[in-house]
Amino acid sequence: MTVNVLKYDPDIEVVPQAIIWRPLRYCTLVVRNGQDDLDRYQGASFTIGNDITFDLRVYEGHIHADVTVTLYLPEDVGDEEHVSEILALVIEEMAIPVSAVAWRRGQKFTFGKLERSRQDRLSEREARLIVLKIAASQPGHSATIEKLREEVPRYFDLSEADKKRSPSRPRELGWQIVVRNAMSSHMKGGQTIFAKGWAEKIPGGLRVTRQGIDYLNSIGFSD
Amino acid sequence: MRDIEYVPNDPFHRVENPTTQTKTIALMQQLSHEILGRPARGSGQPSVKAYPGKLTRDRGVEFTTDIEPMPGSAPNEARWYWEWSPGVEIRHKDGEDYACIAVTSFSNMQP
Repeated sequence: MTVNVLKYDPDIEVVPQAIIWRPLRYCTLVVRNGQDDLDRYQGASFTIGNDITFDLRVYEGHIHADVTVTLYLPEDVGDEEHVSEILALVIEEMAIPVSAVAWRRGQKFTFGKLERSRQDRLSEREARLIVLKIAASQPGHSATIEKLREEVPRYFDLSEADKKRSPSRPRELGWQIVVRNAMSSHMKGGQTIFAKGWAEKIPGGLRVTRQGIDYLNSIGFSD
Repeated sequence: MRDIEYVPNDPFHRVENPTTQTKTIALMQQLSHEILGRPARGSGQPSVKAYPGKLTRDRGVEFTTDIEPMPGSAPNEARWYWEWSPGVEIRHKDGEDYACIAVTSFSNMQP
């Protein structure tokens, strides 16, 4: 299925149903500014198929606003099981790892407190998608390796584990090795962004192909 | 099963905005010991919305209440809906319905 970005505000009351430990720019480039009775926010509205509408928003006063995004569903979606099904579909279709979900409806919480899963750290699989997103957001849909490395921390809140120095390559941090491997064209066979046809190598970096842009459009990152 | 571990003495706050949390509204809240909220766009259900915790910006109001927020709340925002949250009352003002919660303490930091 495809995640479509809505170009207009659906004008319905929405209720927070999950908090994802990823910044808004990780999820989508199509961001609009809004304001309601609570506060000002940045966000986007999406649909999946004919039945599912959801918003991703970050209010200025949300805790961990720089590194989390809140998923909102229309107020008439109240059944916990249905909410859970929609959440599962959204994270699958937007290619968001399950470990990124810091809170979901039905899970106990204390106001003002949010804990990130200890399992949530940068994987090579996710790093492949992040470099694709970063390059797609750059002029000419291309980026140098230096630019990609510079931008990764803006797209992914690096955990302490990600920042540990590698014993085998002490000059690099763990996440930097993960990103380097993610850009490798000769590892993991058909799983690389190059083997999938989403990106091509250029001197010193990579360029996202039309196919890559189409894929990013299909997960709601761009339109 | 209750989702929220709610502590009645924990503070909530609302930040100043030009329409629903103005200086005048803050003064009315301070005098009445009540916070009112209208229905959101596209909704028929009035609700009060606030951030949990102490005020983190320069201007706004901070309060505590004995009324437990709705399960429709989340760790990063609290909501009190009329009819769905016990203790929330209804007020009619200028032809509109408002959800109303009584506060147990109130600090006006948008004088």
